[in-house]
Amino acid sequence: MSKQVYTADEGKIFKSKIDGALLSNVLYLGIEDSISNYEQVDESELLGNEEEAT
Amino acid sequence: MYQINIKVNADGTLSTLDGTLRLGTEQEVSRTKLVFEIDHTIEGTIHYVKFAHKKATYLYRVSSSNSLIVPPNVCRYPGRWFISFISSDSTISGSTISGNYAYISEPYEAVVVNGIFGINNESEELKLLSNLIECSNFDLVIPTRTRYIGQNFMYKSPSKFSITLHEDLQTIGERAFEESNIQSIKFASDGNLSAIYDYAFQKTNDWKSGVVIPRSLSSWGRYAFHNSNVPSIIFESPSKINTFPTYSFAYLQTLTYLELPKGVAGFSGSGQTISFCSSLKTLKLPNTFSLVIQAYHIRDNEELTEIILENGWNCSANFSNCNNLTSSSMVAMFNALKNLTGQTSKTLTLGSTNLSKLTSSQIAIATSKNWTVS
Repeated sequence: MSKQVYTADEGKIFKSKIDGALLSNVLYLGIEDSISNYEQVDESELLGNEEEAT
Repeated sequence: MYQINIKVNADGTLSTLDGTLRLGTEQEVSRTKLVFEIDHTIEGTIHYVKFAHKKATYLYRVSSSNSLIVPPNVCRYPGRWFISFISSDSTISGSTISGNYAYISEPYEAVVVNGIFGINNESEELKLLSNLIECSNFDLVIPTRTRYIGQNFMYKSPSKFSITLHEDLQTIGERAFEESNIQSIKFASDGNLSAIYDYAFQKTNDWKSGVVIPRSLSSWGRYAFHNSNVPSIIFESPSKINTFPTYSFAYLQTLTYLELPKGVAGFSGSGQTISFCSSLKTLKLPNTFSLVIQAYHIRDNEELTEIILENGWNCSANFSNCNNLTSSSMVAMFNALKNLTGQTSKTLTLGSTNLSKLTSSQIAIATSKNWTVS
């Protein structure tokens, strides 16, 4: 059985190459999933676009 | 007629023996005449006086005798006015001077004094009538055949009221009830309401009951209930709403329960959608979601302990900004996930704080169904 838990580098999070979902810095892979489906991105991507109410 | 003499000086100033010009008392008519003595070096034969007040501005032409009776329109608004004398070689239209010469004096302070002419003591009967007319503590029923509630319909209405909407209504306009004292709203079941526009119920803080949104609605405005104290919002299912925009549910600080309807595909914006609802405890999401929920969509809801995913949930979601989820809530989420064995994996992100509340065997409920937990 292949490794199922992964941790991203400092300041990085995982991002799904499949659907663009931004994840955290730890992965518990699904039973048929592969780490190749994920890339590491800066955690700043977790922030959305902000605006102000009027 | 009382006469005020005003010198129009070549240096651009006006001068009079009075300090502040007393133009009259509220509601007076034709009591005061301004007479202008114009310095001989000032050119132009066409003269005007501009009156400026925070509620109105007027431009009046001065007669050939260089005088002007203070117009009733000016005396309609008590308080501070500024007047300016204008001399030109052509007529003036609006704020446009088309000629080759214009003298415009510096503004001079004037005042219309508050009057008591319009004040009358009300009888009890008049007070009751006034309550009826001004609709204090009333039930407002929007009649049949009314299709639109326009912008600012009850904006800042000071009276407390409840409203009943009939099935013909199609839209509720922008800011229709903003800052009003609406206490409850009843939508028609099986009606035609399709849109609630931006800010429609923003800053409404007298809600006595929650709101049930009819299934006919297809468009939900941004900030619809922003900064209101509505205790709950439930959408009838199935709904025609496809997506909720950014700031759909922001700063609803007494909202404790939010249920989104079956049929919704997700959140359309790239910013906060359910946020700063500081009392929100339970959020229920339908399994029709197909757009990825990112961390920024649901954030800063400090009391949110339970996110209920409908059975068969099949959409990647990130709830890592909901750090107070209980372990039982998360296990219930895992149990609700669709089994993706033999299909492409999806992700459920809970964040390290939430993950620390779970055991390996609990996480395995999700991973064994081919969901990646993060």
